[in-house]
Amino acid sequence: MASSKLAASDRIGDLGGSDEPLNVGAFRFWFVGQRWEWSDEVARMHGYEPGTVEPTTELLLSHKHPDDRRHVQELLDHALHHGGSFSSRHRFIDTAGREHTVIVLADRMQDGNGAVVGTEGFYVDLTEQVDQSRNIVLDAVLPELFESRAAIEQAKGALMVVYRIDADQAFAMLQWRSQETNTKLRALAAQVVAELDTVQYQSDNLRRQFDHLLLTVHTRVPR
Amino acid sequence: MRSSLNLRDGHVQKIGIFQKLATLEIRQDVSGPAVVVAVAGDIDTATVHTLIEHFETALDATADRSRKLLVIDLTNVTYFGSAGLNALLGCYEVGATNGVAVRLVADAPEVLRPLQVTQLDTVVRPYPTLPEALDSPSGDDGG
Repeated sequence: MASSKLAASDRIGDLGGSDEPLNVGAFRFWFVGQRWEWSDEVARMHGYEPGTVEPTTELLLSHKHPDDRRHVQELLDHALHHGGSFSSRHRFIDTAGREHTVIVLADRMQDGNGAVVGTEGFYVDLTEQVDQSRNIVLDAVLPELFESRAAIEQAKGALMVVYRIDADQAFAMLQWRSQETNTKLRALAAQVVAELDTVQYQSDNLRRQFDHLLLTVHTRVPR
Repeated sequence: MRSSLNLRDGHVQKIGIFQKLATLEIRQDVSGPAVVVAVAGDIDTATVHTLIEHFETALDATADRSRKLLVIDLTNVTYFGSAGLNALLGCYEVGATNGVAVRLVADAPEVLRPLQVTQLDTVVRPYPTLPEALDSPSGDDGG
């Protein structure tokens, strides 16, 4: 019994939460020639069987959300103007007409001379929600994992604020990094929390807004 | 001779408010010692095709002249991304093939930064002002 329980907790990678992993795909975009490379996952997100289509600026234009003015390429042009990695929400329409919301995580791609030749990174598709009901079952079956939830919940909260995503999506992002790097989810989450104060950001405006939220929030709690 | 064109990309949102319009203004001036294409506004994937057409027209106009110099003035460009970079490089390369020197005028970080980080400023050297681009002697066009 004990061994099967241990195996179960290992298999689900510390509160796996779902059999369906987060839908993540890789991309590369070269500035000169405006050449794209998609992983099979990104092709499928757009509704194509891998290898059946070559991603181009024009093809991506056909997936542009009608309410968005900027092409996804302009999003990636960020790397031309600013250093460092960046993330941004982006919407597109797949070949079936379905709207996808993705987080684009990207960084500069450089050649041997340090010239920035493009952008590379990941599309994290937020359209498929993590199955919430499985979390509840796992919580009941594996109570020893409860204590690790504190760190996971704290890390989720940080991701929710930074990426403006909901709790399930935040969990899915942590799970993705956990699986991608073969790192235990609870250890990964605890390390995220431990390193939160190393992140540099423009804090004044956020803090002002949060001051207001915190000091007035009681007036919006239903009684 | 001047031709002027406004290109607008944008549409009415469902809630009925106009989105900010991307506007590109292109002026071609052939009255001086060189053909000058002056561009103002946003060069992005929505506007770049119009720009490329103007570059082609300007290259043709320059090829017929004794001083084969085309100056592209991006002083008033407010957005410059990879679409703009490629249009500029394409113009420079076609010019080089046809014996037309293409010079760039740019002094805003919005245009200079992309050229610097990609190190394409070693290919297309930016001049800070139009007079400097016009007056610089031939053979000073990098390469």
